[in-house]
Amino acid sequence: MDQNNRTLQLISIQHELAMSIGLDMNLSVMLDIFMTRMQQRLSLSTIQVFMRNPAVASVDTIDKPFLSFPKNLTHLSEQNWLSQVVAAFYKNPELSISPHQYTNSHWYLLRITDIGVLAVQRKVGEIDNMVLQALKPLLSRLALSCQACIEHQFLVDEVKTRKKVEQQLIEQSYIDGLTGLPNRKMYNLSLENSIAQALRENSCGAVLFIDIDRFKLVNDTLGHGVGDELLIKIVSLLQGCVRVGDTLARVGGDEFVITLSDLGDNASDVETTVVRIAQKILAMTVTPIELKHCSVNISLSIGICVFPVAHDQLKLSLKQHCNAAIKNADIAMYQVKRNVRNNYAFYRHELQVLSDKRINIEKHLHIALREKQFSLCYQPLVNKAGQVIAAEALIRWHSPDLGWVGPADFIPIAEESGLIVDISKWVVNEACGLIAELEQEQVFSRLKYLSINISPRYFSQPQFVEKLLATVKQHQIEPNHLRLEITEGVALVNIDHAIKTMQLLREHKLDFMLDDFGNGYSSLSYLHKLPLKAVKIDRSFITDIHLSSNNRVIVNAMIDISSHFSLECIIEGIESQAETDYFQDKPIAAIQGYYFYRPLPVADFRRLLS
Amino acid sequence: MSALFTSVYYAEKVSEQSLTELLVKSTKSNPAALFVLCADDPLLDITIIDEFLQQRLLPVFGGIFPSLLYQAEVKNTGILMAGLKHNVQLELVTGLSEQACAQFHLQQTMLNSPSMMVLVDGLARNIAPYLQHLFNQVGHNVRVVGGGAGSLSFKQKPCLFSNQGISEDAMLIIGMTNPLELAIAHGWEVLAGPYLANQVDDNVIEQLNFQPALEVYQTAVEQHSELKFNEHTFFDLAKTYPFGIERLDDDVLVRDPITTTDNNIVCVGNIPENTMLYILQGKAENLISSSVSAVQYMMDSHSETHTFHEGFLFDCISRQLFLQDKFVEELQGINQLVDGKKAIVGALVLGEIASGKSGSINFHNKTAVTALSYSQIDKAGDAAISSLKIS
Repeated sequence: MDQNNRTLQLISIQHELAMSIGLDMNLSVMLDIFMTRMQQRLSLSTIQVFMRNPAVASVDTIDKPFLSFPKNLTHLSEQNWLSQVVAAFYKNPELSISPHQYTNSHWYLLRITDIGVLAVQRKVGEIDNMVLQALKPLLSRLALSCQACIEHQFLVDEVKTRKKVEQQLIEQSYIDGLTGLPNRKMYNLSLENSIAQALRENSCGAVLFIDIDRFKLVNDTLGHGVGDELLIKIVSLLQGCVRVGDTLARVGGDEFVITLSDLGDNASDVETTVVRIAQKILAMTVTPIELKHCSVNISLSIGICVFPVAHDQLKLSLKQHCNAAIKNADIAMYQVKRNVRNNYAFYRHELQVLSDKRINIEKHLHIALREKQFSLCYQPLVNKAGQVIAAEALIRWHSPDLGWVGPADFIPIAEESGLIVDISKWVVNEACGLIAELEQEQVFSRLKYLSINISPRYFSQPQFVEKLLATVKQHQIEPNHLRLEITEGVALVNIDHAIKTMQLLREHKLDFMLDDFGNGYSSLSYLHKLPLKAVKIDRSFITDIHLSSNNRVIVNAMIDISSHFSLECIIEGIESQAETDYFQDKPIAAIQGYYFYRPLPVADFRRLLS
Repeated sequence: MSALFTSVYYAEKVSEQSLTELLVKSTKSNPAALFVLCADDPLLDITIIDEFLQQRLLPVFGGIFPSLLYQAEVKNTGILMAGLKHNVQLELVTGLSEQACAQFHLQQTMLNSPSMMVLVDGLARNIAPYLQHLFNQVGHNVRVVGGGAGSLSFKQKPCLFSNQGISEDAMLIIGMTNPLELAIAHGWEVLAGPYLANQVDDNVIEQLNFQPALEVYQTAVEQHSELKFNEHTFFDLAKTYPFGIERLDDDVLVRDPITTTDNNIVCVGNIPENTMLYILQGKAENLISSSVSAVQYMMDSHSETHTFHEGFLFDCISRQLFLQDKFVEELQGINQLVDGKKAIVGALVLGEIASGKSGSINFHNKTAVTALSYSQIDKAGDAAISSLKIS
C-alpha cells in the first residue's frame, strides 16, 4: 500500500468509526454499534468494553466486561488475565493505549477517558501503531457519547419512575386495589359510555347491583383476611357469569355492579337475558364457597335496573341517566334484602317510594336512640295450664314525627345501617334492669326467665360476650333469668364461631333459644351442634294447625326432634282455643300467643306478676 | 478414516419418483442426515419437496440454489442428495427481514460443534447482523461455511430446506460434528477508488463521495471498459466490476452490484455506511488461480497434521456468470487438488458465508469458499508402526 492510500486508510478508519459513535442514546446499543463496526473495520477477533459502574462512585469497579463480542473468550484464564490487566491499566491515567500479548494473540487496551476501557484482540498480525494513534481522538468522542448516554439513562429512569408513580396513582384512583376491578369512579365513566351507546342505538342495557348478604358477619367473625379472600373468590365467580364486553366493578365493601350492554330493544328479550344472568349469579352461592382455611355460606341480593331509564317529560343528561340507573338498581337490591335475600328484583317505581320511606326511617332512628323514644313490651309465655312462666321482651318505637313504627319496618333498617348494635345494647340494659327490679321485689320467682332477641349484627360484634356479661354483672341479676333468642341466620354464616360464642355465655349460665325454628334455612344438621336450651317453633306452622295435616306432621316432627336433643320446645303464635287444645298432650315447655297475652307495657306486665 | 459423506446421488429431474429413488439409494448407506440441494428451475414443483421434507425422520437440510456443483460440473437442473456420516443439529431462524435485531439463542450442544454450515435466504435483509449475532455466540473456534439460497431472478421465495419444510426469509444453522478447514478466495483486484460510501441503506449505496452512487460508478466503469451503460444492461457490466470493502487485514470483502434504483446501486450483502469502497476488476485466470491456490495453500499448511477428505464448495453465481465457460476450470482445479474420487458437493450461491482468519463470520460476494473435512494424522500411531518395522 502506497503512502497516499495509507493516509486515506487512516482517514477512512477515523471517519467510519467516528460516524458510528453516538448513533443511539441507549448506552448498550450505542456501544454495540460502535464495537461491531470497529471489530469489522479493524479485523478484530475480540472486542470488549469495561465500564466504570456509573451508579458507584468508586473507580475500582471495572473488573468485568460490560459488553463483549464474541460473548465469551475461548479460555476463562484469558478472561481473568484480561480483567486484571484492564483494572491495572485503568488505575494508571497517564496511559491511553497499552499493547499486551497473551499466547499468540495481540491485545490492545484503549482508555475511554475515565469512563472505561476498550480491550481489543487481534489474532492475525498486530495493529499498526499509526492506526492505534488514529483511534485516540475517537476515544475522547466515545467518552462524551458514553457520558451523554449515562445521563440520558438517568433521565429516562427518572421519567420512568415518575410515570410508574403516576400510573399507580391513576390505578389507585380508578382501580380497586383488592380485586383489580374498576372502582365506582371508573365504573361511572364506563356506564356513561354504555348508556350513551344505548341512547344512540336505541337499545337497552341493565345495571345489576349486587350485595353480599351478611358480609359484615363474615368480616366480624372470621376476620378481614377471610373477608378479603371471600371477595376475591366472589369476583372470580362473577367474572365467570358475565358476557364478554360486560363491565364488572366493585363500588363498595361488599357491593358490586355489573353493566350488561347491548341487550337489544325487545323488552321480553332484555328481561330474559338479564334474568338468565341474575340466576346464574345466584346459583354461584348454592354451595358453600371454599376458602383457604374454611368454607363460607353466603347469598347475594341483586337489584336490577334496565337503562336508559324512563323519565317523565324531563330530558336527562348522561350523568343523570347514569346516577338514576345505579340508584334504581340499589333500591331494587334493598327491596330484595328486606324480603328474603338471596334473590333478584327489577326496579319498579313503587320501590322508590319504599326507598324514600326507608331513608326517612333511618334518619329518625338516630333521633330515637338519642331521645330515648324506644320502649319494651313483654309478652308472657304460659304453661299448658295457662300460668305465666316466662316472658319475651319486644321493642316498640313511637316517633313524635312518624307515630308508631312497627319492628318489621325499622329492625331491618337498623340492622343494615348498624344502628341495631346500639339499640340492642339499650334493650339488654333495659331488660336486665327490669329483671333486677323484679328480683328485688321478690316477684321474679313466678318466672323462669325473661328473653330478649339478639340480632345477627349484634351477635357478631367483637366484644359481644364481654359486654353482655358486664351488663348482667352491673345489674347483679341471676344470669339464668335472662335468655337470648337467636335466629338461624346468626348461626349459619359461621357455625364454629356461633358455637364458640354460645358456649362462652353458657359457661356463665346464660342460655340460648332458637327463634323462628323451621323458617328460612332450617337445617337439622346444625341443630345438635349448637348449645341451645330451647327452640321456638315458627308461628307459620302453628296458625290453624288443627286444620292443616301438613303442619301437624312438621310440628310433631319438630317436637320429637327437640325432645330427642333434650331441648325445651316452645310454641309461639297461638291465637285460638283450638290451637291451644292441639298441644295439650304434647311434650312442650311453654306456649306464647295473643290467645293468652298480647305484648304488655311494662306497668301492665308488673301488675300481672304482682 | 473419517469420510464426510456416506453417499452422494444426483437426479436430473425433480419428481416424486426421483426423490423416492434418491432416498432409497441414500438410506442404504445408513446416513445420519441428508444434505439436499436443488437447482432453481422454473418448472420446479416445491410442494413435492415440501412434503418430502416434512415426512423425514432423519435431519434434512439444504436449499434451492441457482445451480448445483457436482463432479466438477455445473448442474442447472436436478437435485443432489448427500448422506452425511456424522450427526448434525439444525436451528431454523425465521423472519430475518422483519427483525433487524437478531434474538436467537443456540443451545450449548450446538455451540460445542467444531463446524457449522449456515444457509440463508440470499435475498433476505439483515443477513450481516444475524451473522454477527451468530459469531457473538459461537466465538472464534468454530469454522463456519455456507451461502445464500434463492433464485437468480432475485425474487424472494421459499428456498431453505429443513424438516419443517421449505422456508423463506430465514437462516438455517447446521451444527456439524466433523471438523472443517476453509479456503476463501476471490482474486479480484482494485481498479479505482477509494470512494467514501457516505450514504448507504443496508445493501443500497446511495452516495459515493457525496455524489449519486450510480454516476460515480458509471463514470469509472465506462472509462475502464469503454462500454456504455445505455447500450448494455446494468448487470452485464456490473458483474465485471464489483465493489470491495477495505479491511485492516488488507483483505477486501467483495460486494456484487446487481441492479439500480434511481441513482442508487443495489448490492448483494450490506455495506457499512461511511466505509471506504473500491471498484474492483478481475481477470479470469487470476480468479481461477486464486481459488485453486487458496485450497492448495490450506492443504499444504496442514499437511503434517491433517488428512483431507470430501468437502463442500460454495461458489458465487456471479463468479460463474463472469467466468462463463472457464468456470469449469475452477471446479476441476479444486476437485483435482482433493483427488477426483472424493466428492466435492456444492452450489452456486447468492453470497458466500465463511468465518475469516480473525474468527468473525463474513458474508462474501464473488468469492469461492471451499470447506474440506479432515481427520487428524495420528502421529503416535505412525511412530508405533515404524518402531515395529525396525524391530
